[in-house]
Amino acid sequence: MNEWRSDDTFGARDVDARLSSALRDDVPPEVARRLERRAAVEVARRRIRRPFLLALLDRLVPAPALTRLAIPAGLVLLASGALLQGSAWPSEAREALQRLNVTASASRALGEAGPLLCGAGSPLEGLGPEALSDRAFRSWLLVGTEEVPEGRLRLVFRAPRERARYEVVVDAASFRPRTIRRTRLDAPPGGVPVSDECAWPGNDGRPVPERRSR
Amino acid sequence: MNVSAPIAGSVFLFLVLLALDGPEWFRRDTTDAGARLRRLAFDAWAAGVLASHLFFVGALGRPDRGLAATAREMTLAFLPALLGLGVAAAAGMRAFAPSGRDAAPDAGEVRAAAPLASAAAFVVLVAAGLLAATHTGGEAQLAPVAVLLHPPALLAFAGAALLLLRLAGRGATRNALAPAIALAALLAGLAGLFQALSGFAARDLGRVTAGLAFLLTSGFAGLLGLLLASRAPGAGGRRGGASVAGGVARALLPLAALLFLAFAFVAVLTPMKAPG
Repeated sequence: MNEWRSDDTFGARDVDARLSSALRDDVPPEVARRLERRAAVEVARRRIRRPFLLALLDRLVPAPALTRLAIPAGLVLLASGALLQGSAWPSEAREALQRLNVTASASRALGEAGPLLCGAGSPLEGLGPEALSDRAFRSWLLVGTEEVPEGRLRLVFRAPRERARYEVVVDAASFRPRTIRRTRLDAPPGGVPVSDECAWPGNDGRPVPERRSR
Repeated sequence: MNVSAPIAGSVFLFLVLLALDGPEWFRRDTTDAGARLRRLAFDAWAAGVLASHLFFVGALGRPDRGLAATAREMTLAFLPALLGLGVAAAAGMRAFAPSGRDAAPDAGEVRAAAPLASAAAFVVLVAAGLLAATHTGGEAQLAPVAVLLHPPALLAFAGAALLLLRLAGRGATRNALAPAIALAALLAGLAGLFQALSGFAARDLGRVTAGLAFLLTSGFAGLLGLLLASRAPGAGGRRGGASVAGGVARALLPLAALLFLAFAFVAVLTPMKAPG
């Protein structure tokens, strides 16, 4: 009973000694050396796995410093990103998107407009809204937009397959088409490019235009 | 990049997978087959969507193409994602096949990932893809770098990722890296989606383009970060819950990025009537 008293006569050192003697491992020296060698190899392997640059970074910038900097740095990055979000894309990207979206808008507007009224002999005569819309969707390339009086826009398209240029005047607000002019680009050298202008009837009471050259 | 988009996308995907997973497949004795297949599945899925981003922006910036040709090329840009998902599905299902070398249910996460060399090769491939997309046209065109690495979106993405990692606490950085990257990309992408939708409602093309910049950049940067994070030193040491969280992140972010890309497609081609 005396052995298990909790006073000073039986200290912690005695417990350690008794536990050591009771749980003494009987590993042969050869096995022990082998285990130590394996442990050393594993430690060395883990050291090698740590890339040199990361190890250097750990030494130069201790981890607690990184931890302290993380929140302010993250907040600064997030705030600057959010503030700069108002700035639009690079101008080329904006132009690319505008080119596609305006062409899509024009194509749909042409398809929803009524039949065209053209002068006799115009290549656009008899062209239905769907056909014109499909032509715009498939092959027209927007090369420019220009504001014109009365709150309208002039959209200039190039049609490489037809070797022609189209100018479509639309309402800026509704994109409703008013007039369209087609100019052939394959005039012979020294010749005058032929231009045809058509209008949608009932738009502004203008007479049906004639075929003309310029 | 017109008709050859599926071929170019397949080649790009194959090269990326070779760079990321090739070393493991050549050292067959070091990792069990199930682990290799699971990693290949995640990489194929993410790399396919990454390639779709490259081809999508490449199609967007061609001023010498009509609307129909541009729309067709943007549609073809989704094929690499489809191909990547096909490879991922095959590899993922094959990973379920019983293997005598599978020592633990999540043994695939125990083995360290491929060395930094494969990550470097992957970065070089993506950079080459960006350059190739820039120089394939005759006329001057939009640089994909400017669209896919839009600086404000990168700042917001990096800041959000840093804060999320800090919330995870010290010692959890390696386990939380993939989920933090995925969540940061999702947050930035959703912010961009909100801005693009509000611009759409107001017929403001400038706001729509700024929102699309966030969408595309966050998706691209998130996928890039996710693929690189799985190659970071010590990233393979995950087990249990951390492994599941990493797997969810690696499955979910490519899906979200693909949906963002589909939204960009619709936003670009839907007439807004009022030109900016």
